[in-house]
Amino acid sequence: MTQGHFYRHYGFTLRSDLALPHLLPGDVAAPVDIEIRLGPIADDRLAEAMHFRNWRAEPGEILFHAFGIGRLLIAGGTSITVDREAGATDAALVSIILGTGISALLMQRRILPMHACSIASDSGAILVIGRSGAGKSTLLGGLMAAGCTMLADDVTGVTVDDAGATAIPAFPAMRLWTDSLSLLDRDDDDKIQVREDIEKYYVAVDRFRQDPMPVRAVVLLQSHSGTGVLTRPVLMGNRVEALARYVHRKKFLRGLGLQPWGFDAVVKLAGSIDMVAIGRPATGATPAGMADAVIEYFGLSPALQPTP
Amino acid sequence: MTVALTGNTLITRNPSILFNDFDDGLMMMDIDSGNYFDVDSVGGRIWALLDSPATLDTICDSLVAEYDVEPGTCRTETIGFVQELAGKGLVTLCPS
Repeated sequence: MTQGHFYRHYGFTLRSDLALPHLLPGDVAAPVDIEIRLGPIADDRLAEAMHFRNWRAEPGEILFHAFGIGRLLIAGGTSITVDREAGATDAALVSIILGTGISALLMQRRILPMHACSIASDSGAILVIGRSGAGKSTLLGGLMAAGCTMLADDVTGVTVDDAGATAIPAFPAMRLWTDSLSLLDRDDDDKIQVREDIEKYYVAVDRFRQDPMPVRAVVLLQSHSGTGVLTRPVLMGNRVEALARYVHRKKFLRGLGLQPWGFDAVVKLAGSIDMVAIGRPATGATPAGMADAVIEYFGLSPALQPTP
Repeated sequence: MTVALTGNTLITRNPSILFNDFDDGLMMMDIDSGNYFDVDSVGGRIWALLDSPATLDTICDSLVAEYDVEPGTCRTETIGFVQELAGKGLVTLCPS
């Protein structure tokens, strides 16, 4: 099939019926690894499978229902069927395909979807995890403004083998909350609204690395009530649980029968990297100040490429 | 929960526990509760000895042979560790 839109995403060739803005362009002649098709999904699909609130799954297949938007059937690590509901916007569909859909598909391909933004350093990838609202997007924006190169803005793919962990980049755009947009003076017109309800926007980034690289470290971003930016190591005994919490759509692992694999992968990741907690004061932290803490801790300055 | 441990008490791993080598010891996860546990190298050795159900006596005999430890101390500390495992639901104890 040669119709549709072709992209390169997490290293795979992807063909989609739906345009997926900001993804890297793909080679039309290359074998297709992943198909995204618009089409009906039978109501009784996976009826016998394990049921959760708005999804059900068995090994190899998962059916996810985004109320008011549509249903996604993610199968075999190779296809996502999208059954859209009347009135669903393309932006909303794209948002669940690139978020939930791709994370489930990465799991099926034994790639951990870490809910982490990530940057490249000269000695490997640095991933940033933290609760929603901890300031990941703001920190990433600060790091980009300081000249860092991005791998992923929201979900970083991670593979683990005996040699260690490898980070797989996503696509060259980042989402910013509207307050971060104005804070960073990036409130331009070249943005696409992805979820009307939560007011997030994608902006293209110019410094993006598309080749995988070893994972060097994970930063756990936290907030604290004191003043100043605090940095402390994360004890080995706490690393596995902290990392496991930030596997994107981690509950899917159970439905897909992948809990043992996911546990092994997280344990190996935890044992092969440096991990540091960086505490952001509840008030007074700027993107530049947070970025400086990361740049200083990892000695990144020589590798930075400030915007000309 | 305290179960009296005697030399003949059979100790059996909970089959819902995932575990993997980590930082000189073991990291464990209970897939039913989602809870994580980490144990040191000796704890990891005891877990390995429970690959199939074993009695307290068998475990202590192995540990005394492998480590430079006085038998009485070994027994006391092993009982404490096994009771901790049982309290967290990582093993079941069957008096015999």
